[in-house]
Amino acid sequence: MAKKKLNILTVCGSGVVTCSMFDQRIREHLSSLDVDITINGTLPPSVESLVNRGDVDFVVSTTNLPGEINVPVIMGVSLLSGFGEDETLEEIMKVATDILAAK
Amino acid sequence: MEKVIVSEELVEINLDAPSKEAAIKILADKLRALDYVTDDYYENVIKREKKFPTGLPTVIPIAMCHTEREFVKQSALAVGTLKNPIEFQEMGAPDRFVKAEIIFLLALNDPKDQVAWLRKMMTVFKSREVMDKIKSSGNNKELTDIIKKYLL
Repeated sequence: MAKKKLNILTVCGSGVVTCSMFDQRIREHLSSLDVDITINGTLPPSVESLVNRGDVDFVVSTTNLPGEINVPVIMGVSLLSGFGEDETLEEIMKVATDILAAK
Repeated sequence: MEKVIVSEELVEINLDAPSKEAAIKILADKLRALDYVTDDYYENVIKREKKFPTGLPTVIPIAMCHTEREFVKQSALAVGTLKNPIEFQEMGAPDRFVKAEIIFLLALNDPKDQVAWLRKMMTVFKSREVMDKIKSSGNNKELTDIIKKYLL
Protein backbone atom coordinates (compact mmCIF):
# COMPACT_ATOMS: atom_id res chain seq x y z
CA MET A 1 0.00 0.00 0.00
CA ALA A 2 1.31 3.45 -0.86
CA LYS A 3 2.24 5.69 2.03
CA LYS A 4 -0.31 8.24 3.08
CA LYS A 5 0.53 11.85 2.31
CA LEU A 6 0.50 14.99 4.39
CA ASN A 7 0.61 18.36 2.69
CA ILE A 8 1.52 21.17 5.09
CA LEU A 9 1.57 24.86 4.26
CA THR A 10 3.86 27.11 6.30
CA VAL A 11 3.20 30.85 6.29
CA CYS A 12 5.39 33.86 7.09
CA GLY A 13 5.67 37.46 5.93
CA SER A 14 8.20 36.78 3.20
CA GLY A 15 7.09 33.23 2.46
CA VAL A 16 10.64 32.01 2.99
CA VAL A 17 12.84 33.48 5.72
CA THR A 18 10.95 32.57 8.88
CA CYS A 19 9.09 29.56 7.46
CA SER A 20 12.26 27.80 6.43
CA MET A 21 13.68 28.14 9.92
CA PHE A 22 11.08 25.80 11.38
CA ASP A 23 9.84 23.53 8.56
CA GLN A 24 12.48 20.92 9.35
CA ARG A 25 11.36 20.91 12.99
CA ILE A 26 7.84 19.93 11.89
CA ARG A 27 9.14 17.27 9.55
CA GLU A 28 11.30 15.70 12.27
CA HIS A 29 8.48 15.76 14.78
CA LEU A 30 6.12 13.94 12.40
CA SER A 31 8.71 11.44 11.20
CA SER A 32 7.28 8.69 13.43
CA LEU A 33 4.02 8.78 11.44
CA ASP A 34 5.70 7.13 8.45
CA VAL A 35 3.95 9.26 5.82
CA ASP A 36 5.14 11.29 2.85
CA ILE A 37 5.35 14.86 4.08
CA THR A 38 5.36 17.85 1.77
CA ILE A 39 5.96 21.30 3.28
CA ASN A 40 5.67 24.48 1.23
CA GLY A 41 6.13 28.04 2.41
CA THR A 42 3.92 30.88 1.29
CA LEU A 43 2.78 34.46 1.98
CA PRO A 44 -0.34 35.28 4.02
CA PRO A 45 -2.45 36.60 1.08
CA SER A 46 -1.92 33.37 -0.88
CA VAL A 47 -3.10 30.97 1.82
CA GLU A 48 -6.84 31.10 1.18
CA SER A 49 -6.59 30.29 -2.53
CA LEU A 50 -3.97 27.57 -1.99
CA VAL A 51 -6.16 25.93 0.66
CA ASN A 52 -9.25 26.22 -1.53
CA ARG A 53 -7.52 24.19 -4.23
CA GLY A 54 -8.05 21.31 -1.83
CA ASP A 55 -4.71 19.61 -1.36
CA VAL A 56 -3.49 21.38 1.80
CA ASP A 57 -4.06 19.34 4.99
CA PHE A 58 -3.20 22.01 7.52
CA VAL A 59 -1.41 25.33 7.95
CA VAL A 60 1.36 26.39 10.34
CA SER A 61 1.57 30.18 10.40
CA THR A 62 3.66 32.86 12.08
CA THR A 63 1.03 35.52 11.49
CA ASN A 64 -2.72 36.05 11.45
CA LEU A 65 -4.27 35.11 8.14
CA PRO A 66 -6.73 37.03 5.99
CA GLY A 67 -9.77 35.32 4.52
CA GLU A 68 -11.48 32.14 5.54
CA ILE A 69 -9.20 29.17 5.91
CA ASN A 70 -11.14 25.92 6.00
CA VAL A 71 -8.35 23.65 7.26
CA PRO A 72 -6.73 23.70 10.73
CA VAL A 73 -4.39 26.65 11.29
CA ILE A 74 -1.71 26.29 13.98
CA MET A 75 0.36 29.22 15.20
CA GLY A 76 4.03 28.32 14.76
CA VAL A 77 5.97 31.17 16.39
CA SER A 78 6.82 29.01 19.41
CA LEU A 79 8.81 26.72 17.10
CA LEU A 80 11.16 29.67 16.61
CA SER A 81 11.24 31.05 20.11
CA GLY A 82 11.14 27.76 22.00
CA PHE A 83 8.54 29.33 24.30
CA GLY A 84 5.53 26.98 24.28
CA GLU A 85 7.17 24.80 21.64
CA ASP A 86 6.18 21.45 23.15
CA GLU A 87 2.50 22.39 23.19
CA THR A 88 2.66 23.49 19.55
CA LEU A 89 4.40 20.29 18.49
CA GLU A 90 1.77 18.30 20.36
CA GLU A 91 -0.99 20.22 18.58
CA ILE A 92 0.67 19.59 15.21
CA MET A 93 0.90 15.87 15.97
CA LYS A 94 -2.73 15.71 17.02
CA VAL A 95 -3.98 17.56 13.94
CA ALA A 96 -1.80 15.40 11.66
CA THR A 97 -2.96 12.17 13.32
CA ASP A 98 -6.64 13.16 13.04
CA ILE A 99 -6.27 14.07 9.39
CA LEU A 100 -4.47 10.81 8.57
CA ALA A 101 -7.12 8.76 10.41
CA ALA A 102 -9.77 10.31 8.16
CA LYS A 103 -7.87 9.59 4.92
CA MET B 1 25.12 28.50 -0.86
CA GLU B 2 26.13 32.11 -1.12
CA LYS B 3 28.09 33.31 1.87
CA VAL B 4 26.31 35.36 4.54
CA ILE B 5 28.85 37.98 5.57
CA VAL B 6 29.47 38.70 9.23
CA SER B 7 32.21 41.17 10.13
CA GLU B 8 33.25 43.53 12.87
CA GLU B 9 31.93 46.44 10.81
CA LEU B 10 28.44 44.91 11.02
CA VAL B 11 28.09 44.46 14.77
CA GLU B 12 27.76 46.75 17.73
CA ILE B 13 27.76 45.93 21.41
CA ASN B 14 25.84 48.07 23.91
CA LEU B 15 23.95 49.76 21.14
CA ASP B 16 22.32 52.80 22.69
CA ALA B 17 19.15 53.87 20.88
CA PRO B 18 15.93 55.56 22.02
CA SER B 19 13.61 53.53 19.77
CA LYS B 20 13.49 50.40 17.67
CA GLU B 21 13.58 52.54 14.54
CA ALA B 22 16.76 54.26 15.72
CA ALA B 23 18.37 50.94 16.63
CA ILE B 24 17.48 49.37 13.29
CA LYS B 25 18.79 52.49 11.51
CA ILE B 26 22.21 52.18 13.18
CA LEU B 27 22.50 48.55 12.05
CA ALA B 28 21.02 49.18 8.59
CA ASP B 29 23.52 52.03 8.05
CA LYS B 30 26.34 49.55 8.62
CA LEU B 31 24.98 47.31 5.85
CA ARG B 32 24.46 50.33 3.58
CA ALA B 33 27.98 51.67 4.23
CA LEU B 34 29.44 48.44 2.85
CA ASP B 35 27.00 48.57 -0.09
CA TYR B 36 25.41 45.26 0.92
CA VAL B 37 21.89 46.72 0.71
CA THR B 38 20.04 49.33 -1.33
CA ASP B 39 19.33 52.91 -0.20
CA ASP B 40 15.72 52.04 0.62
CA TYR B 41 16.57 48.88 2.60
CA TYR B 42 16.08 50.59 5.97
CA GLU B 43 12.64 52.03 5.21
CA ASN B 44 11.50 48.68 3.88
CA VAL B 45 12.68 46.87 7.01
CA ILE B 46 10.64 49.34 9.07
CA LYS B 47 7.63 48.92 6.78
CA ARG B 48 7.83 45.17 7.07
CA GLU B 49 8.35 45.25 10.85
CA LYS B 50 5.05 47.16 11.14
CA LYS B 51 3.20 44.63 9.04
CA PHE B 52 4.96 41.48 10.25
CA PRO B 53 6.65 42.15 13.59
CA THR B 54 9.69 40.02 14.41
CA GLY B 55 10.02 40.23 18.20
CA LEU B 56 10.54 36.74 19.67
CA PRO B 57 10.23 35.74 23.33
CA THR B 58 13.38 33.60 23.11
CA VAL B 59 15.59 32.67 26.12
CA ILE B 60 16.97 36.18 25.70
CA PRO B 61 14.30 38.16 23.85
CA ILE B 62 15.29 39.26 20.36
CA ALA B 63 14.03 40.83 17.17
CA MET B 64 15.03 39.29 13.86
CA CYS B 65 14.27 42.12 11.46
CA HIS B 66 14.47 41.59 7.70
CA THR B 67 12.86 42.53 4.43
CA GLU B 68 12.47 41.29 0.88
CA ARG B 69 15.46 40.15 -1.15
CA GLU B 70 15.07 42.90 -3.74
CA PHE B 71 16.66 45.37 -1.27
CA VAL B 72 19.70 43.17 -0.69
CA LYS B 73 22.82 43.15 -2.85
CA GLN B 74 25.05 40.93 -0.72
CA SER B 75 23.82 38.56 1.96
CA ALA B 76 24.96 39.66 5.39
CA LEU B 77 23.96 39.75 9.03
CA ALA B 78 24.17 42.79 11.30
CA VAL B 79 23.85 42.27 15.05
CA GLY B 80 23.48 44.69 17.92
CA THR B 81 23.32 43.92 21.63
CA LEU B 82 21.22 46.63 23.26
CA LYS B 83 22.33 48.78 26.18
CA ASN B 84 18.69 49.00 27.24
CA PRO B 85 16.03 46.55 26.06
CA ILE B 86 13.71 47.91 23.35
CA GLU B 87 10.08 46.92 22.90
CA PHE B 88 9.16 45.11 19.71
CA GLN B 89 5.78 43.70 18.81
CA GLU B 90 5.76 39.93 19.00
CA MET B 91 5.72 37.88 15.85
CA GLY B 92 2.25 36.45 15.26
CA ALA B 93 0.77 38.34 18.24
CA PRO B 94 1.15 42.06 17.48
CA ASP B 95 -0.84 43.04 20.58
CA ARG B 96 1.95 41.58 22.72
CA PHE B 97 5.42 43.03 23.18
CA VAL B 98 8.85 41.59 23.86
CA LYS B 99 11.68 43.60 25.37
CA ALA B 100 14.39 42.73 22.90
CA GLU B 101 17.95 42.63 24.19
CA ILE B 102 19.56 41.73 20.88
CA ILE B 103 18.65 42.72 17.33
CA PHE B 104 19.55 40.49 14.40
CA LEU B 105 19.14 42.38 11.14
CA LEU B 106 19.12 39.92 8.26
CA ALA B 107 19.94 40.86 4.71
CA LEU B 108 19.47 37.80 2.51
CA ASN B 109 19.35 37.96 -1.25
CA ASP B 110 18.38 34.34 -1.79
CA PRO B 111 16.77 32.96 1.37
CA LYS B 112 15.70 29.76 -0.41
CA ASP B 113 19.36 29.03 -0.96
CA GLN B 114 20.14 29.93 2.65
CA VAL B 115 17.71 27.59 4.36
CA ALA B 116 20.40 25.57 6.12
CA TRP B 117 21.83 28.78 7.52
CA LEU B 118 18.40 29.96 8.67
CA ARG B 119 17.84 26.68 10.49
CA LYS B 120 21.18 27.08 12.23
CA MET B 121 20.11 30.55 13.24
CA MET B 122 16.96 29.20 14.89
CA THR B 123 19.06 26.74 16.88
CA VAL B 124 21.18 29.64 18.13
CA PHE B 125 18.09 31.62 19.18
CA LYS B 126 16.98 28.73 21.36
CA SER B 127 20.37 28.06 22.94
CA ARG B 128 20.74 29.70 26.35
CA GLU B 129 24.49 29.13 26.21
CA VAL B 130 25.09 30.84 22.86
CA MET B 131 22.65 33.67 23.48
CA ASP B 132 24.32 34.39 26.84
CA LYS B 133 27.68 34.56 25.07
CA ILE B 134 26.32 36.94 22.44
CA LYS B 135 24.67 39.13 25.05
CA SER B 136 27.74 39.34 27.26
CA SER B 137 30.29 40.02 24.49
CA GLY B 138 32.75 42.61 25.78
CA ASN B 139 33.70 44.10 22.43
CA ASN B 140 32.74 43.99 18.76
CA LYS B 141 35.46 41.51 17.85
CA GLU B 142 34.30 39.06 20.50
CA LEU B 143 30.70 39.38 19.29
CA THR B 144 31.77 38.82 15.68
CA ASP B 145 33.81 35.75 16.62
CA ILE B 146 30.92 34.18 18.53
CA ILE B 147 28.49 34.74 15.66
CA LYS B 148 30.95 33.34 13.16
CA LYS B 149 31.59 30.32 15.34
CA TYR B 150 27.94 29.38 15.70
CA LEU B 151 26.36 30.68 12.50
CA LEU B 152 28.86 30.33 9.69
